[in-house]
Amino acid sequence: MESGEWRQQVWREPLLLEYPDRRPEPYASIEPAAVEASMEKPVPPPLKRRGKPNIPGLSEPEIIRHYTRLSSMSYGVDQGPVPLGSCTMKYNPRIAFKHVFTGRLRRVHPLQPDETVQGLLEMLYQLQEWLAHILGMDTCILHPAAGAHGELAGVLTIRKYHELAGQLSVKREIIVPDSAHGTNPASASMAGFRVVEVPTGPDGNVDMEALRSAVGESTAGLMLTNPSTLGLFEERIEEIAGLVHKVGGLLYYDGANLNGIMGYARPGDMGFDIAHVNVHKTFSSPHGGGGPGAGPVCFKDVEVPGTGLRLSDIAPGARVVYDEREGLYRVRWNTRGVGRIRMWAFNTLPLVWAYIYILSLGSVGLRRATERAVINTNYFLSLVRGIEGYTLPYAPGRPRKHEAVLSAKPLERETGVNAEDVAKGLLDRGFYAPTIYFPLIVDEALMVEFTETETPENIQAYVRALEEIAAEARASPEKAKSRPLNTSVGRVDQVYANRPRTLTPSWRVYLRRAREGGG
Amino acid sequence: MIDKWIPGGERESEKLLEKIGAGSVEELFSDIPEGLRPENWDSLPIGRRVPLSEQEVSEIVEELLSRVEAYDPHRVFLGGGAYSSYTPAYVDFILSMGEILTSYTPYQAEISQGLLQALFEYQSLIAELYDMDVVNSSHYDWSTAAAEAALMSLRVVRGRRRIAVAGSVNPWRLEVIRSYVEPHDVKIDVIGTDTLDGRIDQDLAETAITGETAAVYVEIPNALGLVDETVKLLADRAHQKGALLIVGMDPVAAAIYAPPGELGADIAVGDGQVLGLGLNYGGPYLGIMATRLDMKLVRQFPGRIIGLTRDSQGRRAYTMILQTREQHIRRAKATSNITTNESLMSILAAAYIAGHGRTGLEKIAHAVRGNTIRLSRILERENLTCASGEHFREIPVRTRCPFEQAASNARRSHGILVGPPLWEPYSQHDTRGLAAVAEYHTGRDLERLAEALTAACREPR
Ligand SMILES: Cc1ncc(COP(=O)(O)O)c(C=O)c1O
Repeated sequence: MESGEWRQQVWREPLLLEYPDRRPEPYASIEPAAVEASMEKPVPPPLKRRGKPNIPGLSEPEIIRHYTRLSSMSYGVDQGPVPLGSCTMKYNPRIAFKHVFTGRLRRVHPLQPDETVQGLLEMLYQLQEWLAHILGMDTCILHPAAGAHGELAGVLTIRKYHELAGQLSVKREIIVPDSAHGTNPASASMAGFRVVEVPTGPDGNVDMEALRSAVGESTAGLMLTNPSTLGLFEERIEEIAGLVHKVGGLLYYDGANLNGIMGYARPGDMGFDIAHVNVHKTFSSPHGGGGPGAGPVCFKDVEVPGTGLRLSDIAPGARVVYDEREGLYRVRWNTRGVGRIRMWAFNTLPLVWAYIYILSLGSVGLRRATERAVINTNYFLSLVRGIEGYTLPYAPGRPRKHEAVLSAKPLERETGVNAEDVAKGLLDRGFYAPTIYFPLIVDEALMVEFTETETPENIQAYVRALEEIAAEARASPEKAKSRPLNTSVGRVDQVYANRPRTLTPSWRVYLRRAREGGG
Repeated sequence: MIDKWIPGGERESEKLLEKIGAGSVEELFSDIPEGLRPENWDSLPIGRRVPLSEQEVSEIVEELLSRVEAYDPHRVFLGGGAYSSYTPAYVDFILSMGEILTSYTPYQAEISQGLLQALFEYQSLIAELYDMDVVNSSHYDWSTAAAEAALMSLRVVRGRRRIAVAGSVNPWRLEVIRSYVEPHDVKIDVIGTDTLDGRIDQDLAETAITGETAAVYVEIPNALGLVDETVKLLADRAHQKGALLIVGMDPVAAAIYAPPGELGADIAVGDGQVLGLGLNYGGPYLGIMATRLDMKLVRQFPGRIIGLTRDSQGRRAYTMILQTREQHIRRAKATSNITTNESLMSILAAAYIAGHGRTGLEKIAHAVRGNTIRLSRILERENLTCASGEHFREIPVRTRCPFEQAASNARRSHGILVGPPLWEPYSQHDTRGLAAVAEYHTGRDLERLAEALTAACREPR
């Protein structure tokens, strides 16, 4: 470590499984007679567990210290900027935390009768309506548990649509641009489609020539995010929609980049038939180190040919409807389409978080959030422009929306210091790194998204750090490549981590290998 | 409110625009065609249109939440795949720790060691509990884990296009499996069971599991609460035929009953919701998925995995491993599309497990089992059951009037939640449903349930 630099805490914290066993009593109040009833009538031998799991029990102070130490070796929005492009890591307002995670919702069973959860259903109903307005769609379903799950809901709906229309044997392909997030092609394959990639043109838009030749009779649909993962608005979106609709395909909108356009454009108006949103991005529910989230999916009321059904009728999951006659909100499961894709109707807590967030801002506030997010991106670009080593590929003159993708290719060519090294250099200066090596169409990509909640001072400091890193790369490239030095561990050995002989996916595998003397 | 989340609000935005050299914010959106602009965005009914103060928001939300009934946990016997358990205060405290709560997927390992270690611990603890080697850092819930396990089996056992599923699995989970496998021309063979307790019929299992079967899926306990001793036979049959065995198991039950590994499972799934994660009106829960350390299986395993490795100085370190299976690298050929999962819930589940240890978990499992036994005795005495055999957590109840009516009356008159009603072929003319116990239920609680169910059929509707 260097003096004066930021430094992360370093604890040599053992695994929970390495602690001595304190044999704690359960936290629940357990009647001795309950345990006795089980002891008096032992588990029949063939059903009984034979081996003892290696699970020590810790005392409460040990547990709290353990997680306090671990949390001090983690980095979230609460510590500083997490400008991971495509992830929209905005601040997670505590007012929502208070109502969502500490209140009575934790004790509400998903099978409770609708009459007993009217306040909750009212929130979810309104959320459906609000999302429909935000997206310019007709009907929303809150069922999916994440963005990728929303995509799956969407492409399964596309599949069911073609199946009911009697054309599934022809409609075998989903088109995605090469700038798309990996979940798009992965979701399309999970729904049994062939994936056809189309390239991006030099202006950052979809290459129309290539698209025209890709679109045809076998096109079941197209998945697109707009703004794209380059942060650029796809200007010819209406033309694209026209092409796909003309051959009977449906348009799917990946809403991960919605934070770049609220108030300025809506996927429904662009011609999309289906759209998901990521509640844990645009609507501020915390990402929890990987989840939970929610991925509501919204539909145009497009009719499925010859059935009298709308897209939302054949989509997976359940909707909240208002029954005028009874004066009650009701959960209504779709029974004529794809079928459920998770056990229960809603990943409720992140959805209620989104309700509270949108209630707080309203249409005006959401527009302002988008405006500042876009201002922040372009402010960042105005500062970073001219720093030797980084370029802005694809239409450098066009304004970016929620994010911008720099290339560290010039720096890499000049000094050998690549995007990954730049990322590690940022860690050493107390920042989280951007998304790197994505989108795949940018060499040495640094994908930066500050969101509206970042301060101008932090954006300036981030740019200074990028400048320092470029200077260090020239002055002492080995040093730049040896980073990070100020984090709780140094550069992690990925090869060792992934080699079959040393692959260690759990502690028991580690112990077994140690016993056998391998590794 | 808005200024609090957007530093400096409109004033600062103006200043920044000036620094960028943009005349107005409009310039930054000039590439969006005029015709696409929503005309009246500000007046669209989104929220209350304008930003509200925190206090206003709080008051609105509190009013709405006051119309959500949370029942006395001692009177909740509702099951069907979501169960009550006591959540220790320390677990909720860990939930609130911002460095984990507000972090993203640990793409940058060096600055995320704490988070990575917490996820690795979760994987390692579940590996112990399930007697499996490799655990991913979560799926959305048990049902999606089961569905992805089925998809995985099709990739491991190539060329086979049938999945055999015990008829006694949770019907909603089965629906999810169907939704996931349908696009892949897979036939699901449902193995017939006894209509009273869902015990697997071994003759029917013989015919359902053939050389075409890629995997056999079974749950412990089954959807009627039965811990079916015939599962072992099913496992043997599956392996004889070259199919994978997928076992879905309640992780608390695994503390005292033979866990998936001991049963010979190739893939294990389950839900961590019972580990003090709360009911949450259906989510977030915690989809558990595990497999054996056999590269043939591991290469096809979906989801994120954290591994133990070393840093540049040889110190212990953690990182995401085997990422070439995942969508961000493998795209259309990935083993799954999943990325956002239920990581935070997995960390809480690990904290719950560690706060109890093996002996504490065993005690909870015995309390749940003991309460199941006690409840079944009471129900037998009151002539409210017709189940026999080993049950865990949940048992079928028979009422003297339609079960739904009985459950509804029990709620209205006794504040008791019980159910869900059983489905075909187990419902016996709609007179049967389920009752689920928790570790904390007392003898008095259980008696009260029986009283309520008896009284419920006496009352007029
Ligand atoms: C552009 C894009 N699409 C889709 C997704 C998938 O969303 P989720 O992580 O919620 O499943 C993401 C984020 O991971 C994304 O950035």
